[in-house]
Amino acid sequence: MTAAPDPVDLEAAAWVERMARPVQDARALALFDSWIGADPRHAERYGALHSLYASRGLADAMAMPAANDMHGSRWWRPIALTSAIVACIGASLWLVPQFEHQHVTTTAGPVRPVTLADGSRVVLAGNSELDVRMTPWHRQADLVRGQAFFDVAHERSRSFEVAMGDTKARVLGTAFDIIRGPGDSSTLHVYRGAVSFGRSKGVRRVIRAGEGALSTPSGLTRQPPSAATTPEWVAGWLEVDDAPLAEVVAQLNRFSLKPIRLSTPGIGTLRTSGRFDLRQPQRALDALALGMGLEWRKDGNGYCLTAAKERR
Amino acid sequence: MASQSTIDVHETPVDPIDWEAVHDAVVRYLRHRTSNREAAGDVAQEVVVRLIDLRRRQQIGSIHALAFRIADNLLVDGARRQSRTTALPDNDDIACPTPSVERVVTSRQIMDILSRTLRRMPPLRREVIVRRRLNGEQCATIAAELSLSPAAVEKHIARALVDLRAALDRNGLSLEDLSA
Repeated sequence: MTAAPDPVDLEAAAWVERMARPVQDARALALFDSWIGADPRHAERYGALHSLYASRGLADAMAMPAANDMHGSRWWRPIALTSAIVACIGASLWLVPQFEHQHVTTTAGPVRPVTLADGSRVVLAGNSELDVRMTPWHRQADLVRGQAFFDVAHERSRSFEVAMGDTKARVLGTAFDIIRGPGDSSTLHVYRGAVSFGRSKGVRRVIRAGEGALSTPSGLTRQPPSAATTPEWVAGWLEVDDAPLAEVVAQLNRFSLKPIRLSTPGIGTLRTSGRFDLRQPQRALDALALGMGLEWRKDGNGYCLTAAKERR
Repeated sequence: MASQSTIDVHETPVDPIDWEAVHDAVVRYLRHRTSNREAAGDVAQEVVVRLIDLRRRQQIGSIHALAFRIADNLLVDGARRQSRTTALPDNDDIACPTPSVERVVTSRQIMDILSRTLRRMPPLRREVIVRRRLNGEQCATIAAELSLSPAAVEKHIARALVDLRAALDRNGLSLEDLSA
């Protein structure tokens, strides 16, 4: 189907993969520099292949069921493999078929995929808690804290409701993502279908695929739309648009096995934008440090982020 | 005159790095990340400034690897800032905060081509690249579980990536300005 690939492209692609590893040794790094310097085409081809490798389009295409149909697996199987280290699963007891109770808790670290009794799939972020009750007439999930992506099995007669305290999202069959934020706020993003969203005493709105909404005690506000098919974090990325550093670090901490602390007073209010690698906190810290003029170091308790000292 | 004056070599130590070459490498690296040539030049310049400063303070393993990473972040940051502060786009290169119909259609087409190319790949190659890219598994793990040599795993990934890129090129699509 394809002509024999260009050897320069193959070399560049091999470098893209090597440089995407969490750690590179000094020898490999020196080789990379000399390879880039050896031929002007190298930087260009590396950039072309790196932009594809790092793109969320590629991750989305891989997460699509058809593209990822290996050994009859489902789209989230790779994620299932990632989350080998999982904290603790609460009691999962069943009483009678169709009356089921599932309680799932995760500690900070990798995401955890869960299949519910009705076949719905949930990807739970780190440091999150979900409680699910199924009856023959209703499906109820409580997102006690944290963040979850839901891909709900369509059932005409049995609605599916997710409660975040006072805020509720009601669906029939759809894919959406919810973050429980501070101060009784929740953020919803819908990726497929539609969700009826709102507070128990207040307006409810229908949020459709591509749309997002924020619920706070003062009401609902629209969030920027997105053309994505799954949330960034499910594929391992945190996208931030002009958010305070404290909020970014709180999000990163949900995925990092070791906590990140802000050690210089006042830097939590600095704002930043960017795309951060959730599976490699040290990379995310590098990116934050470079972008914001900060420094980070590892200590006994985790990572410590400070304002850069001027040393000239 | 110059031949007679003594030059104090200690005043300006020679930097062994050819910063102009680094600048040019960053511009070439960005050729497929943004169609905005001017922005690429600005980013490359800023990258070099930051690198020179950073090199005074710490050891750098690979100048180019770091240069490309800083460039990626500056590009994302720049696009975001611009989309917030520009009231009316004065040219087509500026990213709009709301995805335009064209952008959505293009990103759909890209997704379709990528997923079709993945489907048509030899199953083993597809499994290798999905496990590496989507799942973040290490090559050594994949090699052990699939009874392959690490070199074979690397070759599968490289070939898969080149084929995916070629499929986009054949259809006249590129990821420029779509993926930050």
